[in-house]
Amino acid sequence: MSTWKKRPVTLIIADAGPLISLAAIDRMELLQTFGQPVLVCDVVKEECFAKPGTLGEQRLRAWFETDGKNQYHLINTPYLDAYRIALKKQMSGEDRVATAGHGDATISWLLKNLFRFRGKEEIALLLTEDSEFGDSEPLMLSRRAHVISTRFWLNTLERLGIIPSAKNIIGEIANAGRVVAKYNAARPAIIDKGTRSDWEDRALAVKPRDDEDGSGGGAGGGPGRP
Amino acid sequence: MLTKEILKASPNEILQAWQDGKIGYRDAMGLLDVDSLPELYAACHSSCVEIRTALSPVETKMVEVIVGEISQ
Repeated sequence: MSTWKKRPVTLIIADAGPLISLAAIDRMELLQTFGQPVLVCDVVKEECFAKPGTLGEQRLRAWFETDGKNQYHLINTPYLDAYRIALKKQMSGEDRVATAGHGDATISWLLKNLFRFRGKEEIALLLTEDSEFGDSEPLMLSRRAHVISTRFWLNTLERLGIIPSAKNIIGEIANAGRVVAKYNAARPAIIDKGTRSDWEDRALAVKPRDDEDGSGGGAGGGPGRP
Repeated sequence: MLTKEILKASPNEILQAWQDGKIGYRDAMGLLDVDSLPELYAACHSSCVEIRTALSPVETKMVEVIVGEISQ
């Protein structure tokens, strides 16, 4: 008999990459398969619109404006002003990489301060699209949060029977003009000794029932939990 | 043949199963939709799955058999 205590992931922290990819093919509802609130840092939100004419820009704006069907929560950070200054430098050509690392810094800050916003019992999962975040960040090496890349997330949804084909979705994103980085990561958080945590059980619990053709519709409105 | 458990396992569990010698690299690549062996190793690294550098007992046996055949 297992002696592990199981604690589910309680919130999702989204990086800009996955949001842009999902918006590019109008599949924001896939975020509802997590069955948990999605936190987006202010800098990450602005990163989504940093380049004028970003793929799926209107869909993404609509998702933010409607709070992602009561799933999305904005987190204000101390870095927004610094990011905007950097973005101006970048847009003017003064420094072409001025904004590099700002989004990652805000996510690091959020993870460090999560207890202030959400309490000590929260278990976060970071959904990201490239290796900028995680593989070498000292904070992530402490592994207080799960990390999953867009590719492995979609792959898991396929194997759980929630979507018909991850490959098709990645193909659709490519056809829309965006390449999902070949970053494959699924790093479990290290919680307390004797405790395990994952997000798949919750995904199965909110699995869309009549959506096998991939036409959207999501998980019946998703989580309304603030 | 892959078990029902591994078909429903998380990516991290699949990578761990591969490194534990429970499934082959082709199965791991297929399950995870990873295109190449270097990418599979990179996935292990990014997922904090320890990469085994020593030969497994099965691999050791295979090497012994092959070396034995060659030396005959």
